[in-house]
Amino acid sequence: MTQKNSLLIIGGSGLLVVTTINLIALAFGLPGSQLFTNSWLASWLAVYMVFIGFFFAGIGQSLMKRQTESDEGIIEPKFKRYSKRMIVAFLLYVIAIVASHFLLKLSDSTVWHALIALLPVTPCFLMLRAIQTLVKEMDELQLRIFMESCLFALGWTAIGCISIGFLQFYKVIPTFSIFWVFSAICMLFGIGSAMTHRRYQ
Amino acid sequence: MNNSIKVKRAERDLTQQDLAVQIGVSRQTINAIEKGKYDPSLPIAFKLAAVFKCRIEDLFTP
Repeated sequence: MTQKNSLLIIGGSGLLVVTTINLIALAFGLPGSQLFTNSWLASWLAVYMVFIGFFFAGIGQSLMKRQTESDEGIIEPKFKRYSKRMIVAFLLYVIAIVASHFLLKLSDSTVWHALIALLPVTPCFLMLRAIQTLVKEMDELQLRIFMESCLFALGWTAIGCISIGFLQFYKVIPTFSIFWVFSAICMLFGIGSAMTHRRYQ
Repeated sequence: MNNSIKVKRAERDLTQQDLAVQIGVSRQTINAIEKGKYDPSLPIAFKLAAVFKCRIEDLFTP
């Protein structure tokens, strides 16, 4: 049976969708086509990092499944439920980012801007809920892998934040949005997950 | 820690998935325990001993 991996599918398809949207934006010269210089595309790059995290986590899962002796195609129901919840949340997140970009122009009110700017945050609550539910359903090894991956992401993000903080303090590099921290955590969690899965395979 | 789970599982003609379902863990967990990559908690060790109808000491050796 062909081996399926939901995380790899989410990561891969997410990267494909985001790349396609960005290429369309670049081709039609939509606002913010300059990489890194515009907050809109910068936010897309942050989304990239989130999907890269999923992609690496999927690689980790694949590495583990490869070593087992039978019924390789089976995905546990809890991971199927988690994937469905995350796909819905990510779709809403991407829609909210695009929608907020256009809705911001409707009014100059600060309150309106604040509400619309926070619109993409709402699907994040769904993601948080999906993760919490999955963690509650994990067995002890899965929980251990999850915790070690979290620790890897937390540790390297902390080192990165402190290093960047000092460099910014002494004006070696310019300051940039705190928005990137979450994306960095996702990407590092994915890498950590792949490494930890490999250790226990 | 060494263990004889793979041997005992083969004696009973159980797959990793069968054993995982009986213990209430994932197949990957059984695989990691069999390969000695992961030492299970005491509750899991008791469940494994119950499935194989033996003592924990018969399954795991330091």
